[in-house]
Amino acid sequence: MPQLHLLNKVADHPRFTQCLNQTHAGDSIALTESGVLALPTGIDWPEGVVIYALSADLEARGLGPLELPPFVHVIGYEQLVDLTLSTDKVVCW
Amino acid sequence: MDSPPPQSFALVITGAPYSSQAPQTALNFAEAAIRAGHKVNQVFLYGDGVHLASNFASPPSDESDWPALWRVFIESHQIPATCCVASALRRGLLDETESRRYEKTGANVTAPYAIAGLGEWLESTLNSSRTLYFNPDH
Amino acid sequence: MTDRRFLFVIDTAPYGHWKGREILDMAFSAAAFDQPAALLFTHAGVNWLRSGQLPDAVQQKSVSKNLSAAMLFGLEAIYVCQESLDHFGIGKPDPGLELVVLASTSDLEARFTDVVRL
Repeated sequence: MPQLHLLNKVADHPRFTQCLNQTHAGDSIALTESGVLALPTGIDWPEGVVIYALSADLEARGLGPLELPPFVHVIGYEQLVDLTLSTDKVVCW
Repeated sequence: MDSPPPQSFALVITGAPYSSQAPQTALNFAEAAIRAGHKVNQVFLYGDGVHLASNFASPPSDESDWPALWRVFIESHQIPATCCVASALRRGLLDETESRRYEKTGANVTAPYAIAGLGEWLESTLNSSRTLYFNPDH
Repeated sequence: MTDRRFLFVIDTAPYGHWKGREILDMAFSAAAFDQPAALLFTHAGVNWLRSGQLPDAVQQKSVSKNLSAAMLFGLEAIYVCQESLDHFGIGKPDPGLELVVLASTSDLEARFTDVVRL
């Protein structure tokens, strides 16, 4: 069953690693708040997982297109709402 | 393109304003959900999230007043909003009834918030398409 | 709506803050309303299960009494992550508790519709 993970922690928070460990192929991760700061760090994202990032949180933290890996989907709150409804289960970290 | 059928949300906020971004993220999310035609069944403040219900919050005038913005939003969309009683009393968030019961000199929780128990959280969770937890990012 | 099953995850250490106690209240509340509910202690959360805690020393109440009553409250199980127990050097968790120790917790969450962290 595909899941959406709402991840708002910085990459060195214990929950960030826990989230990646609980993510399976077919799942999605939506990065919000400080979660978006993981994008320019070049960490290994789990395979087969779609990564979204909230544009307002990227913008606030000075992360422009040049800082982002090419596979990231930048979304607004409207799309975040759609995402939470398009998977059967949402896990909030 | 057909729009998807309307759905409903229960929103649990556990991060306090001015020590986390949780109330803002939750508000932006709730506004977008309602714009898309969905319903917010319940806003449940839990743990440090109860600070959002304080009428006494007085941020500097050049900063966003998150408690006030949330109150306006809840009132204009008539969303049931609950401040968890166990979390609230410990942290000094009292309505008139609790203030009298504990013989305190003021009450900082008023409508649209009701002080009630975890039953409200559970009931709204069971009756909503999705329950989202807006936790602090620390 | 399919039947709901709740897993409450405690991954934060005791006494330093209240998240663990507050998620425990949610778990007891769900169980009291006859919802299938279980607890998972993992990462720093396993420190809740250490024997010999004397929280009087920091003027706090013990939660081990609450935990030992968990089954009476109707919680299905208290799961614990073995790797986390090892990491924190907890050889034998509190013998007063009925625990289900798991070598891996990666499949556990899939068995629940609602996974709750605070």
